[in-house]
Formats: sequence, C-alpha cells, structure tokens
Amino acid sequence: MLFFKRLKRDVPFVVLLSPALVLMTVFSYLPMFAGIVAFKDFNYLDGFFGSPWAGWDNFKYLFQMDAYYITRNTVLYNVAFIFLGLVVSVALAIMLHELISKRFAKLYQSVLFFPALISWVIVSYIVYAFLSIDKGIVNNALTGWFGVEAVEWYSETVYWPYLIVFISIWKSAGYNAVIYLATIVSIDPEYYESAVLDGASKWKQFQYITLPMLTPVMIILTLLAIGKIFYADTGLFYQVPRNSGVLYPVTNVIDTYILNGLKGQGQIGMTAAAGLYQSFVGLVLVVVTNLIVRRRSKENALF
Amino acid sequence: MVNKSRGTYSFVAALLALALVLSACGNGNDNAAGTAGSASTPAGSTQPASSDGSVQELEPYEINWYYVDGPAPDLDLVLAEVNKYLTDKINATLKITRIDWGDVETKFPLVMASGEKIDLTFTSNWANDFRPNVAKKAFLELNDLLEQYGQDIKKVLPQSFIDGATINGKLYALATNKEIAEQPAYLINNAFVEKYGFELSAIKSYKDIEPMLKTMKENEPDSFGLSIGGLTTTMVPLSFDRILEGVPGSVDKNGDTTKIINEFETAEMQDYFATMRNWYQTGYIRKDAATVANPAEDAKTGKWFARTVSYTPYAELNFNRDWNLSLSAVPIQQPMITTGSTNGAMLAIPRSSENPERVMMFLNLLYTDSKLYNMLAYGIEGTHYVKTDDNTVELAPGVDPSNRKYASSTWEYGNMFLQHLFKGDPTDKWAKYEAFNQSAVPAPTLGFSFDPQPVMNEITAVRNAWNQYIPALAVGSIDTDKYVQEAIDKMKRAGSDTIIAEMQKQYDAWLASK
Amino acid sequence: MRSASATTNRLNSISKLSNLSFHLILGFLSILCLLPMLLILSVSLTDERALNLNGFQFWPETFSLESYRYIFAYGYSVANAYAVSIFVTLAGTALCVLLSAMYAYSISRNSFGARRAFTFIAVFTLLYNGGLISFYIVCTRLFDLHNQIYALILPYAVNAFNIIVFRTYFLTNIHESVIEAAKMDGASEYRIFFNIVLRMSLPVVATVGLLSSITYWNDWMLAMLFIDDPGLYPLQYLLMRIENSVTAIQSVAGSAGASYAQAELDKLPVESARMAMVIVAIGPIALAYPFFQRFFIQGLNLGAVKG
Repeated sequence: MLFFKRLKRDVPFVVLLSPALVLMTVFSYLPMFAGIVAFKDFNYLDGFFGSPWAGWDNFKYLFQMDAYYITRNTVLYNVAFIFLGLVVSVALAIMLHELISKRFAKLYQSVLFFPALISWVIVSYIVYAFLSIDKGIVNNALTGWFGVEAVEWYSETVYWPYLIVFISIWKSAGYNAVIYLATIVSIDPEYYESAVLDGASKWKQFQYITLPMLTPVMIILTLLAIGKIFYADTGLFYQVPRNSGVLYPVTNVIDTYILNGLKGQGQIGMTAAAGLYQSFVGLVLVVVTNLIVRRRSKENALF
Repeated sequence: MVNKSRGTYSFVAALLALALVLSACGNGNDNAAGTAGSASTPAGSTQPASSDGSVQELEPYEINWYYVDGPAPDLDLVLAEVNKYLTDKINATLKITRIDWGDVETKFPLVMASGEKIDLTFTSNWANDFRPNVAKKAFLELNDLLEQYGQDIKKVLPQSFIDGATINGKLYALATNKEIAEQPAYLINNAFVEKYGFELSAIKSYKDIEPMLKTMKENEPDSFGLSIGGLTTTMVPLSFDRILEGVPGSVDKNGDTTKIINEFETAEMQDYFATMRNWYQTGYIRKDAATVANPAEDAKTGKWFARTVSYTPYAELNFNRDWNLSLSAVPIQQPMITTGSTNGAMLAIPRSSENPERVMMFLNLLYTDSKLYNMLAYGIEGTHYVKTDDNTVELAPGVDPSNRKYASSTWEYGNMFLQHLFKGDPTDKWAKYEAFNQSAVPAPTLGFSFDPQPVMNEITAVRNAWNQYIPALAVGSIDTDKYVQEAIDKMKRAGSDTIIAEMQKQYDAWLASK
Repeated sequence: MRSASATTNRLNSISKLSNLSFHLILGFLSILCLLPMLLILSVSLTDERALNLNGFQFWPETFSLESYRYIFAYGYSVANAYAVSIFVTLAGTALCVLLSAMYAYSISRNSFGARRAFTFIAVFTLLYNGGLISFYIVCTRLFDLHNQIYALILPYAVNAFNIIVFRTYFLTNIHESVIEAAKMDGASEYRIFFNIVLRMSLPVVATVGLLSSITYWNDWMLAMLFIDDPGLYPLQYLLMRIENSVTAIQSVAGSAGASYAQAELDKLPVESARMAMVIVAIGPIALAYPFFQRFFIQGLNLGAVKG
C-alpha cells in the first residue's frame, strides 16, 4: 500500500526526468552493450554476438613493457591538471568577480574564454609557430634579441611537462572559471552584508562565505575529473608535441600508446578493451572518493 | 528501518523505469547485432544472375560504393549520367559515398563494423587496412567471381597485382591498374643543376648526392639541401623489403631471400643512419626535418635541392604543374614490386554485399570500359571538361582548379590507363607506365601475407618503441652513436625477436607451399 | 534592493592595491589568450608564399586578402554552414538546458524516493561509455540518424555533467522552505519546477546554456559521423574536415604515393586560407560572447528567499 502511495507521489518526478532518461538510454546505455566486444575475437562473419570469446587476451597489451611509464604519465598529468586547474579557475573567478570595473571584468572574461574555442589541431600549429626550430618565434627571439643559442624544443624532454600543463590550463581555465563565477554570483548578498556589518575583512569573507559556498561545486568537478583520470586527450599529447618520438618519456600516455600501437590495425577488440579498462579504473576511483566525501559531508557527495 | 525500505523501494522503482525504457528499444537491439551476424551469407549471393549475363534477365541493383575522396558538388549530377549508362549495360546503378581524407581513420572502421550493406569498398595498406580486414573475414573471396564475371580484368591487370592481394590462395581485392613497383628516387630542382653544372647521371644510389649537397651548403645558405621529413621518411632507399610497417623484420633483396632479418642490425642500415646524422649536423638536411609536418608545403618557394619520392614515369611532371619549377626525377634503387607497392589502392567486396556477381560485372567494366571510366574520372562532357582530341581532355571553359565542381581520385579504382590524358601530359604517358611495370622485378616476399594476430601485443609495444626513435634517426636529428643501439635494444625488449621468429615461421610455410 | 547591494558593493570593495594587481594578472593572462588569436589573424592575412618562406609571424610579411576571397567563393557556402550551426546550437542548447534541469530537479528533491538510483544512472554515463563503434551502430542501424539534422542535436541533448551542475545548484540555493511554501499553496511539482525553481536559477541556466552552446558550436564529430549532405555541414565541421584532411594526407603520403598525395593536397585550401576559416568560424562567437555575459557580471542574484 505504502509502495503505491509513494509511486503516485513520485510520478511527477519520473515524468520530469523521463525525456532525459530516454536520450541517455539511447545514446549512452544502449551502446554499452556492444562493449562486450572487448572480450571477443571479433570477426565480420560471426558479428558482435557470434564471435568467439577471447577472455582477457585483448587487455594484455595494456600491461606489458611500457605500461608503467604511460600510466604514470597519464595519472600524474591528470592530477596536475585537476589540482592546478582548480586553483587557477577559482582564482580567476574570484578576481573577475571582485574587480571594481565591471566592463574590464567582462572584457577579461571574454578573452580568457577564447582558447576553449580553438581546436587542438590549430593549437598545435600555434605552438609550432612558437617552438619550431628554425622559424619559431621563441628561437628567433632567443638568437636575435638575447643572443643565446636556439633550443631544439621538440627534442628536449625537460620542458614539456611544464609546457603541457601550461597549455592544458590555458585552454580550459577560462571555461571552468565560468562555472565557478556563476556559483559565486548566486551567493546570497545578505551573507556578505552581515559579514561586513560584523567587520569581516575581504579575506575573512572569502574564507568563511565564498569558499564554503564554492566547495560543493569544486568537489563535484573534481570527482568527475577523477573519473577521467586514466584518459588523456590525444589532441594535447599527440598533435601538440607532433608525436615527436624523443619526447615519448614525458608525452606518451595511455591514449597515445594505443594510437601508436594500433593505428590502422583494425583491432576492434583491443581498442574496446582499452576503453573498458580506462572507464573501469575511473569508475572505481570515483566510487571510492565519493564514499570518502560522503563520510565527511554527506550533501557534497556525487551520489 | 525507514531508510532500508526506502532504499529498496528506490532501486526497484529505478529498475522498473529502466526496464520500461529498455524494452521499448529492445527489439531494435537484436537487429543491429543480428545483421552483423547474419551477414554471414556465403559468397554465393541471394540473387542468381543469368548465366549469359544478358541484361534483360537481370534485376536492378544498386551498388553501394565507398572510397576516399573530397566532396564534389556535382557528384549527383555525374552519377545520374553514369547510372543511365550502367543501367543499359548491367541494369545496375551506383551509389557513391566519398569518405573524406580526414575521416578515413575514424569512419572506415565504423562503417565497416556497422553492418550496413556495402557492395564495394576501397582498401589498402594505409586506409581501411586490407590485411586486418581479411583476417577479420570482412571481404569476400573473389577467385570464382573473377573467373565467371571478371574475365577481362585478368587480361588487363598484371599478375603481380593479383598476387599481392592473394592470401592463402584466395584473392580478396583488385588493385588499381597503375604503377606496380616502388622505386625510391630523388626529385631534383633543376635550377641548381644548371647553376652548378651537376651531373645527374652520376647519381646511382643515395650517397651519390653528397658532393652536390656540399656545394649547395657552401653557396646557398637560404636553401635546403635535402628537404625530407614528416612521414615521407618511411621510404628508406635501401634494399630491404619490410614485412610489416612500424616493426623490424625484412628480407634483404640482395642477400639470402629466405631469411627474415632485423634490418637495424645490418651494417647497411647503420651506415645509413650514420650518413643521415652526418648530413643533418653538417646542415645538408633541413633543420626541422623531425618536426615538419609536410616538407612539400614550402616546395613552391624553390629553395631546395632534393627530396625523396617514389619514382613513376614522368613523376617530375606531377609536381611541377603546381610548383612551377623544372624538376628531374632520379631513381636511386631498382624498381621492385612489393606487397606494399601492390596494396596501395584496391577495391574489395565486403561480406555485406547482397549481389557480388553484379559488383564483379561492374568491376569488369571499370577495367575495360573507357567511356564509363572517364565519366567517373572527369564528369560530364561539356559541363566539366571538353575533349581536345580523342584521348585528351581539358577543363571546360569557365572551370579552373579552384572552382571545379567535379573531380575524382582515379588512382583508387579500376584501370587507370583508360583515363584520358590531361592537356599538357606527354602522349606516351601510359605507354611509359606499361613499360615501367614490365621492367619491374617482383620482390621475394610478393604474395606473402603476414598474419599479425599471434604477436599483436608485441607489435603494439614495438611500434611505440619504433616511433620513439626511428623517424628521428631516419632524418638524422638525434645522435646515432647513442640512440641506434638503444632503439634496437628497446624494440627487442618489446618483443621484436618474437615477431621476427613468427614472421620466419609463416614465411617458411609460405615458401614451402609455393 | 538593487541599490542596496550596490552600496554594499562599494563599501565592500577590495583595496585599490588588490584591484591593481588583479588587473595586472588578468591583463597578462588575457594577453596570453589573445596572442594566439592575433597570430591566426595575421597568418590569414599573409600571402602564402611569404608564409612558406618565413612561417607564422605576428605581422604579415606580405599582406594578402586572397584567403578571405577564396573562402567566400569556396565550394560549400560558409553562410549555409553558419545557418546550420546557429540552428543546431540554439535548438540543442534549449533542449539540453530544459531536459537537464528537469532531471536535476527530480533528483534534487528529498521527497523523491528513487533519487539516489537515478543520480547514479546519470553519473554512470559519465564514467563509462561503450565506445565509438557501438555508438555509431546504435545511431545508424537502430535509429536512422544518417543525414538528419537531429543527429547533430540529440546525442548531446543530455549530458550528465550538466545535470549534476544543476543539481548542485538546486541543492545549495533552493531552500526547502520555498518549495514547502509553494506546496502549501497547492502547487504541483510541475508548477513548482517551471514557475519557481527555474526562475530562481538563472545564473545556472545561463552557465549550463553557455557550456552546452559551446559544445554544440565546437562539435564536428557528429557531423563527421552522420552527415554526408554538404547542405547540412555545420561550421566547425567545414573547417575541421579540411584540417583533418591535410593532416591525414600528409601522414599517408609515404604509402599512398607522394605524387597522388600531393595532388590531393593541392585540392585543399592552403595554410593561410585554413587560418582564415578559423577566424571566420570563431570570430563571430568570440565577438558575440560579451553580450551573453551580462548574466554573470551584473550580479544577477535574485536570491533564494527574497524571490
């Protein structure tokens, strides 16, 4: 009895969420079924459901020789992106909000957003324009103005960790700052008003009002980013460094390893296995982190 | 207590909702998988064709053809004309889908795997990859079809092309009839030849160019000596016939042709790397060779002396039309027919085709019917092109390269020698091609198809190691003393010896069966 | 109320020193973001030959409008692609915002028993995806999205990320008391959602709207997968098709045959024309963006209880 009463009360909720649910089912859940091809030795004669099982064979290549360093690269870069990205985006949001001149704030915000509009291929051209060995802007400046030797940027591994983190944040900080900015803007001004009346300094306001109000969003975005911790964007790691082999120790990540190794080989099973592996690790990490968050403050957890 | 029942309740409700939604779409799901599975109809198709091929007894059929090309605004217009002609001949119509160059890597596997009915598809060793597809049983065997409906093709297409696409006795694709061999060559900028009185006939192998590069370096600081780089460096002008791209394992054409060796351990290869390094450091090779995406982009400036190409008759003309330079092509190796050179552009019939007989009939026309071929090549006479004589065309008045509404990459299909010459081409162009093809010698491995599946894991690791060192070594941009051995060792640790052993095993079996 | 908070704002401003340092930092970062755009602009206005000789420069060595002339005469109408992109972006964004907000509302309400399950259902889609091939098969074999404009809209219409953003906002900013008050007045959940909650969520609506419009505007993947009809090409695909083609042809030049590859490359626009396409694709958005920003900067915080 209680069950049906609850059911009735929940009908509006289900109705509201059903359009989105249908689309999610079609575009996200249905395709998941074909993920089983990761465990099969696919051939066209037998198709998806008829092909023979391959057990874990398709996964083996992900754990051989170079596995350690590509996984290390992927994870370390993502950790840097998450952490530094968060700090930079939040800082940007606050600065933009506190700026006295709203017109300038608008201007800055627009400009900071531009990199999000450019595709990685174009970014790789721009980086090349700066770092190319003979015609690059940087090398020309080095030899021309400063009178020092040109640097073979695409052959020296030492610079690239910094370059990659810098370029990644450059590309997405403005975009992420928007989310934080929207959160800040929606904080009830009454909090600030009473804080001012109590004589709180700007810094104290930030500590006790702004930051706590931003925390839920920061946690959510971080949790979601953790889910992607085994993924890397090939635009950033393959195209920008021009797939320069010498740089592999610092630029080869899981996704580029797969690209280099399987390009043109038509290995449907192996590529599916990689996707499954990356998703699974991300899923486990998110669930674990979510549990931890749940323990500290229930309302901030993702689910 | 309340929480527990709430939890259970919420899960049940959620599952119910999900189940409802899923069941609505559930029926469709089987179809997709099912079609892929049920496309297992054997090579004998569902539609019998009449034994004498008379048109009246043939049912109409649409041939769905996928190949690689940029878009053409007038494709439908041209197809309408082609289909009128084709209906008369074999009661079939063409539906052409052009996959754009940038989409090839992503889209071909999707289109193939999706189970859509495709009758004819482009395949090669660099797009919609031939061998992996055959291993996955994606293509139909063509031997019987060729005998029955493609008799004329065999008269036109050299045996080596057929050998190159035959795996374990079964033919799986038909190559475009074009140049059959690969022959590394230098493309030389004649401006400097005249200026310094270089003797081009003295160039017989790659090293012979060195004195000329020296002169260039001393006198032309603004120009590149050897303009190589990007991925044109896959072509190394030595005598090794590589079995699989990106992995060591070759047959030395000049040595024991029954042995597969690791070519990086040979003196010849090490000498090559050392020479390249020397040239790079001395400044003969352009400084950005390791990172430049396309060294040909600045070719028009004329500030270069030599670059590497694969020789074809009148190769120099292909380039100088756009670059506006006077060029010479100088071969630096013997022409060799390899599996690679025969697999550059082919057409295959996927398993999903419902009337392979009709497709083969179409292919038969593609290799013999000049009218059909040229319609596909150039479009509609009068609209897109005009004939200047029987065998030559030029663009129609008002049409120029920047506003052409129809163009087609004919090197991807059929018999290229049927194609009318373009105004300005030498009249003996195709004759020279035929002669070139006759003069070429088959490589020892022609016809041998290596199945990579047993060592796929090692291949992924070795390829990563390869990419880390070889492209840079091939242009000399990194130190040979240090890195050549490191590269060999790393590839060994990744399993290159295992791969070579597997190659030898399969090769021995193939040699024995010949 | 507006003037009250404005006064407070003035009293509550940061110090002049802080303001100056913020200006310096933001200014510097802005330059970093602006420089690449200027570079692209400069390349698009450079004569191709000069480009081949000198590479990318900030100031064109030899000025030329040829690339822009080329684009506007180029094969497929740039204007048509703009129309497609604008339509897809507007329709898609509206759909995305609405659907995500509706879902998020349901899962944010305490009284909805199954909310944890449905939250997980949404979040799970972010953590695992079935791969491109299965996605393609579902879209082309199960449902025929080939060459339909819906193919450009529907796949991105629901994004769990946006749902979570909405949900977080609802949970922190919409007090239970408001909803209780409305229920006392006899409002249905639908009424509460559309008339009250949504109205109170303009900043997050604007945010999600912005994020999803960027996704739609920038996307070329869907067009590559499903659209063969040039009349339906969105703007970014027009551009990326060419960029990807150039990259692809260069990488297969060795195997396909250098002269064939060269012939194919010659059919494509040259570098400066491609950069001109980038300007044409991004320019209007970049310039229009300031107008959409007003939702964020003008402190549109209609507050929770004040309503």
